[in-house]
Amino acid sequence: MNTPVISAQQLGKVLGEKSVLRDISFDVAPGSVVGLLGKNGAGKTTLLDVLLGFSPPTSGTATVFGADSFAMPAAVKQRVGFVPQQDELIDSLTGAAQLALNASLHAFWDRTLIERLVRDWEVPLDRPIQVLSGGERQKLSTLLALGHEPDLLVLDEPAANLDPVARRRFLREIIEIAESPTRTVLFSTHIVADLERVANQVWILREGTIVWQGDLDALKESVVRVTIQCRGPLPAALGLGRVLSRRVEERCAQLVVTDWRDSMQAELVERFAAEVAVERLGLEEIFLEMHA
Amino acid sequence: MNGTLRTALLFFVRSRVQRWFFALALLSFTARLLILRMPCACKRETSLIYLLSIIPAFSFAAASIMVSAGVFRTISSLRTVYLIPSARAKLIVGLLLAQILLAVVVTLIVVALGTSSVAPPAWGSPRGSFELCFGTTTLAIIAAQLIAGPSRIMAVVSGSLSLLLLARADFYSQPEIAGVPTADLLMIAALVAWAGFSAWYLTTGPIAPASAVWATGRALPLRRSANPAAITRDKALDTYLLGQPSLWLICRKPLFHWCIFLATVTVLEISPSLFIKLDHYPAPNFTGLITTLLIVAPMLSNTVAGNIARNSHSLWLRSSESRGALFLRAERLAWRAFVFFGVPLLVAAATAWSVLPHPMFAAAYFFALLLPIVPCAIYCGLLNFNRPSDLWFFALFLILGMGSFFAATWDGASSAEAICGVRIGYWAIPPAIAVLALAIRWFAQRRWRTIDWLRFRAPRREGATRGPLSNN
Repeated sequence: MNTPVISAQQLGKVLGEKSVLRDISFDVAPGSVVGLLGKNGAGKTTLLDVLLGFSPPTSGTATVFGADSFAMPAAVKQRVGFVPQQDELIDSLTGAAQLALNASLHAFWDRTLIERLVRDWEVPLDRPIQVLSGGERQKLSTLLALGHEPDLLVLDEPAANLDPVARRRFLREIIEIAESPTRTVLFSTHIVADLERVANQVWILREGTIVWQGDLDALKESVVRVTIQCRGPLPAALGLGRVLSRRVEERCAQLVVTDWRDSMQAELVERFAAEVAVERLGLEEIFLEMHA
Repeated sequence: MNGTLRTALLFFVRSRVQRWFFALALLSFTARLLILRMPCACKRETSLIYLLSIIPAFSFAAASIMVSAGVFRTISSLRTVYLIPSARAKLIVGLLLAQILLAVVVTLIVVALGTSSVAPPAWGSPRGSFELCFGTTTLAIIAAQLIAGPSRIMAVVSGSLSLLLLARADFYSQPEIAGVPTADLLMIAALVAWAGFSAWYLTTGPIAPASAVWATGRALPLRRSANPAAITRDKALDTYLLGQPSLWLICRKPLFHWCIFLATVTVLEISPSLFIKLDHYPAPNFTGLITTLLIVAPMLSNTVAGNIARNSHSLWLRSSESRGALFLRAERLAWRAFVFFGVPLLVAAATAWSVLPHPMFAAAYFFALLLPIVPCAIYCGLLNFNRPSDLWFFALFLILGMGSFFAATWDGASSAEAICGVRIGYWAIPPAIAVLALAIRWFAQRRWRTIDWLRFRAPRREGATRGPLSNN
């Protein structure tokens, strides 16, 4: 088996008295495109910071290409590209100077790729960074992370400041980048549609814990909304496994359940002599139900 | 009214260091009063307790001058002014209340300590003390705000100017002008100035400094960019650490402010003799000027080192260097910055010292204290990952540097066993500060090796979060 690109075992992070991350474990295989979804304060940025070695974990371990992330060696760092949520551009430079500055820090720099992306994304390189808009800064920041063709690309809210047209172009580029079987992309976002368009794996983070990790399709397959209409009163326990939300009236119940199997519908019909309707949910609905 | 009072108090108790200094000042002042009531054979002026009672109060005042400028600038920001109703009114009345509080405290101190040792006439009465303090500080601060806009360094200048004016106004002015006591006139002038300033401040649009040269970096045109063809790896790393393509771009603004300050002090030293015709007016004394010039070197070194520490985050992944190697690079850069502007400043001060028309009191000792304070400034700065101003260094500088200097000069003048006018025992303090600098370096290096940048993350920029669900 390949060494996981990123691995975490029982990862925990406490800031002050608040436990920001709790018992997080996962392995990311090469070639994955992982979307990290979570609402405000869920711990997305903290998780990325710990994974990339900006911050030591309070408990557990995190590795990148097999190396301890907090003491990442130079060879590993060269394989990582990171786009932080808050850019680290130098305001008094022009975009071109900033790119040149970054290029000088890497042994390899793909000028052709950068020139193409500058054209496609319409990044104004001749203007001082201090006068660029939020979206232009974000594009430039992403270019800095792509130039050395990293094997692992980590993006923290990469499309938050982009307009719809720029976001679509940007995501198309991410999909192209992710087509390489050896390149891994991990990005956090609050825009569910972006994640659905790009990611093949999804992690849903809630209050510092990953409540779902796995294939996006599997998530959509396994979470359903079940509506049961019964002639008689429904029992308190329906025996449906893990229920995300439940609304039960006397003879009618509506539940959102995970780990759904198609055979369960027939079982329900038989047990309660009821009409059972099953509805597949979109990712946004699943996310909202998980946080209901 | 509560909001206004809170705003006024914020100027004095915003930071933890201020609160500590305040508590220390209160304690030492109480102790001083108790000791005064005990029979003692020693002379009050040479008593160490007397000195110790002054240092915390002086430190508290100095810290408040620095922090209050930050508070003023924060509240003056456009967003605050537009979002919080009557923010400007609270701020402007708070500013007045702050000056009144300050004047009341100074008056109480003058009354409590007695007036036998403070010769100038106005200080002899509580009313005169209050009026002098209120008048000079209010006038100075309003002048500074008009010239500079809400600016941290200018408030330091205004504070220092106030101290100078406090002494000058009483020592050298006429006791009465047209039959009215000068202190009363000063008070009236301050109130009129405050009323005029308030009227402008409450009705103007965006608050902007009177002169564009004081504008912040964002408003200035780009002067220089790194040339893409000529960037070496080292240059790139230094640029990321400094957050600017050159050291000069970082240092020019504080240096410019300090130059203005020095020019102002020089004018103050020279000009009174031109228009105040008093027999007892002495020749100008530039000791304070030289001392200030010397202080710039460690202060600026601390600022640059703090900048470097705050920018280190961006190099963790980019540089391929370990935390330990990053510290060594940052340390080298901070020292290079000191050589770039600190050494010329020290040389300039030493040259000025040698050509002074009058002797500079305990200058050699001041130099000896200052040299080990420079590494303290650099390593304290390298420890300062999250704040634009380093109050810890400021506290250390005031207590160790200025405290030792005042103690030595106070004590040494009456001693026969002295080197360069300072008692021999005090010459042990500079090496002790050097040892402290080494300890701070060890601590800084240790902190860099285990630095958790997440704890020092800058506040997130507005507008970075949009969409159906916000970011975390």
